[in-house]
Amino acid sequence: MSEEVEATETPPSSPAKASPPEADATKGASLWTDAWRRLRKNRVAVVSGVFIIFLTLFCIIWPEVSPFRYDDANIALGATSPSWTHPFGTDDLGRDLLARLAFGGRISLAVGIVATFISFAIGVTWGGVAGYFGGRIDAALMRIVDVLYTIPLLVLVILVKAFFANDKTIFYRWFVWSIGLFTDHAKDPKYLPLFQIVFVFAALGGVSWLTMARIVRGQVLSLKSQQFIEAARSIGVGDAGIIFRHLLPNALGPIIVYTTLTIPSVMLTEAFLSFLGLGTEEPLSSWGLLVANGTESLDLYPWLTFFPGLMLALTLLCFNFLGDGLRDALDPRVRKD
Amino acid sequence: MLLEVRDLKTHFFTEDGVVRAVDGISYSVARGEVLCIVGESGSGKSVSSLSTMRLIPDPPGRIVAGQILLEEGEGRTTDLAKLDERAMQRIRGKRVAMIFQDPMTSLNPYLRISDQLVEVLVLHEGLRKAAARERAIDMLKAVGIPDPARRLDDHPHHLSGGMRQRVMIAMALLCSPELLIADEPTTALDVTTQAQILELLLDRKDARSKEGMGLGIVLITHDLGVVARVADRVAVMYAGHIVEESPVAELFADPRHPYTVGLARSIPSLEGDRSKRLVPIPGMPPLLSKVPKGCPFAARCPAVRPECHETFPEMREVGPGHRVACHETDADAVRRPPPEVTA
Amino acid sequence: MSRFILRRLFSLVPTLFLVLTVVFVMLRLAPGSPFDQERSVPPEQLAAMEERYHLHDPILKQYGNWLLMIGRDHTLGPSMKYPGRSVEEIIGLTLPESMKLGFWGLIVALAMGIPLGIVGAVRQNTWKDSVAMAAAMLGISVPRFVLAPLLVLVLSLKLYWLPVARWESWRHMVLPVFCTALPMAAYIARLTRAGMLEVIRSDFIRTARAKGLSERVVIVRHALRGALLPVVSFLGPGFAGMLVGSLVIERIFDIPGMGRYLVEGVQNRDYNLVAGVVLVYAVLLSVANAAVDVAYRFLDPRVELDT
Repeated sequence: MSEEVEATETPPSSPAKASPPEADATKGASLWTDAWRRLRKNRVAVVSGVFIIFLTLFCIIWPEVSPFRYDDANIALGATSPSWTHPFGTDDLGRDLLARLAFGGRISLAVGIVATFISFAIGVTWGGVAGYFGGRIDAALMRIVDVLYTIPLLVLVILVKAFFANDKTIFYRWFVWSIGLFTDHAKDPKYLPLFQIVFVFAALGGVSWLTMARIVRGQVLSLKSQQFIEAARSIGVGDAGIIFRHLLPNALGPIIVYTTLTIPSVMLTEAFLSFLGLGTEEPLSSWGLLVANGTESLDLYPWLTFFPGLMLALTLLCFNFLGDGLRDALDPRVRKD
Repeated sequence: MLLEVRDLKTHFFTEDGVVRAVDGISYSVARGEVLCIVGESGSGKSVSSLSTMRLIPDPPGRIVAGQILLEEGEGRTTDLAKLDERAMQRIRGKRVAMIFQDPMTSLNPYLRISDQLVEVLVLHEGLRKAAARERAIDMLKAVGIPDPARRLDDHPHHLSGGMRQRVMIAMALLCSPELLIADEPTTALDVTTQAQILELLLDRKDARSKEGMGLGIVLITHDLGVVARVADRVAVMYAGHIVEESPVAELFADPRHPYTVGLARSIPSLEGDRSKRLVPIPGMPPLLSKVPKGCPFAARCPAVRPECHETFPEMREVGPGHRVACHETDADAVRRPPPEVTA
Repeated sequence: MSRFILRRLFSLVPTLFLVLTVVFVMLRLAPGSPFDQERSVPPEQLAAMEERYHLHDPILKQYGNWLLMIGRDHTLGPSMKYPGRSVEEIIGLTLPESMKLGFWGLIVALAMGIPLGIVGAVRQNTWKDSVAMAAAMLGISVPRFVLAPLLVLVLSLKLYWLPVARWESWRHMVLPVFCTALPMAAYIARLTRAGMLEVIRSDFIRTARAKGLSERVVIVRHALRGALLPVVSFLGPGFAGMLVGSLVIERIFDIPGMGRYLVEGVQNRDYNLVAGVVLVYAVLLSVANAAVDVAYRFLDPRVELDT
């Protein structure tokens, strides 16, 4: 911050603002095509999006076609550094790291998507109801959000996960009952990791909806007083209809952006929990767990930390870039220049 | 001549093409004189004044041609268009000052009035804070702010719109600039306050003339009423060009450009014939990125001729201090009623 | 202003109570007891220990006792895992270390993030902007527990520049503080840049330039305050995030802070310790949020204080 700075971007004060009258007519449809066009021009976001798609496909397909399964132990082999047979090396049990990474990707991405979906569902409903009904309902609902905001929720998640995510709790009984609908062997302990992961879904979804609720409420509040809502109401559309069919679709922009950005946040939290031993468990080892395992032998087998870490970081990076790109594309005020 | 602008061109180079906001204008202002630049939105009038202050953001804008000559005494001038940023900063606020349209947003909401006033004096005249404060109080008094010592410690949001605009004027006049540019200073104010602010500007100008340090004012507006009230001379802008320049009385008495005629006709008047309808100018001004060949007003002009679509008319003297850029020389032809509304 | 501060501090009390209660309830409801990890203890002794900690009393009575213990005896109880030491003793030893980490982390985050954001905004769309924002993106996306081990690997184990772990000298602090600060610095950089870009478009910035002020003065004296308001708002949740992140950092670098004891306490079912630590965290966070609130109103004169 030492040298003289040149004149920065300020919009010209008056010229060329006389837009031709026909521009406004198609504003509705063109918001999305406009946004799509802007997004396409954002090379970083596009590359990120492509990478995510590629990665997801890889995680789905590779474990099925890979010569090594993620749990194929080869104790005699032990840990080896990257080679042609094992492009990412093997861990101390001789398991191929690439296969484990692909499988772990399924876990991490699943957590990201499912937990985000839960967070989305809760947040949108909460915020939508609060914004729509306003008044005391709004005040009460938002007060709860405010209080929850100040509590170290993650710490509570740690507590909850530590104390309740085992086979002695009522949650487990519920889980067994639901599994029992699909199989006869519901009580088999091999389902325990599945229970853990569902727990993680719910716990993470349960703490990340706060900001979504605030955003949705803000959007709904500003849309509520607009004319098309009056129109819908006058033809007899009920409250639920108004919320879900009229208000929310128009509030979609920031919601989409925030949802895209929640995914990496949730993935990061899950990885963090796994690192502390409070996340998913073997055999459903997510990338976070792989990193945690890797750090135990950091100086001996650095690739066991490096590759999972790289995968995780790259994925988070791409989601963040994509979310950023979406925000730039959907918010007309934030011009790139 | 305090300020002489010659053939100024300011263009904006955007993704959608080149916007010729100001495309070759020339005007001048003398000390103690008020020049009004009139035009509608999109005529380029604000850009012309921002160009004089060299406040055009680059990118995407640039002064591509022309001279902005500020008098230095003994016949010498400085071309503001050619100065580097450092030199320009010494001039802004000190020799040439500018006030803006919206007093609500033009003052820094986070700083006290005193900070915003004092810093100008500290910067340009090297005053110590205490002395600067005194000068600021005097200036606030001169612009008609009651209890100035207390007002100094307020934040802008404590003041009304009219008061804020007075503060802006005080801020601009603190270092006794030679030229004051006022970009629509009254547009955001209510009518009574408008009148007060205009009076204030004229008062300060006269006060400075009495002190022997004549102040020239360039006042930009779209309101012919403002023009009638304060202007000594008027320049009418359309689509980046000045189409007519004249002393104020003559502009209203003997307008020579069809656009000026149209403007005057479209304003309601207390004395006018109430049974006659207001006559708007049909059509719309061209986009500054797509200015047609020839005279930009041709599409809406009642006196249009074939050459109007080919070449832009040269400025022509039609009276003392009265110039017009129009191919039509017949004053009556210019005052014909407008054509039927086309596209 | 002081009335506002007092009122704000008062509003913390119900929140704290809520946290306390929630924690307590969870601790007691969780199946298992602090002592069932010990295989070597015969059942009668187990029962006696549980009795000693009143673990069989009705929940409300336990809650009441606990509150009494805090309020009247000013103690958070004995640690169940380390019977010789009380919880507040442990906290007293470890809290300063965590605070050191957190404090320096915050300073470094601000010192790195704000200038980076300013550069990005002021040199918008130049290579400096791209580099700054790319760095910020990386800072946000690379988790601390990935970054830390890798930095340790490179800087400590391979290059021997910095010590591996522990917490003795300033050299020991470099890596932990940096890893703690980085994600927060990245957020701050982005927020500062966005805030600055927003403010720079304002009319009053144009006025400032029209007065002949140099660009540096315009940025620092006129633009910065408005630009930093979103950063101040962020500091509340940012501090929370840093607190949580410190759990991992303390673990990796073997720092004797509260976070480490929290994780241990959770794994050992040491109720009192966990409750105490969570309480302290909640207090810290609430105070931080309140401080941020006050700071915001102080910085933005447009907000009336006595609302």
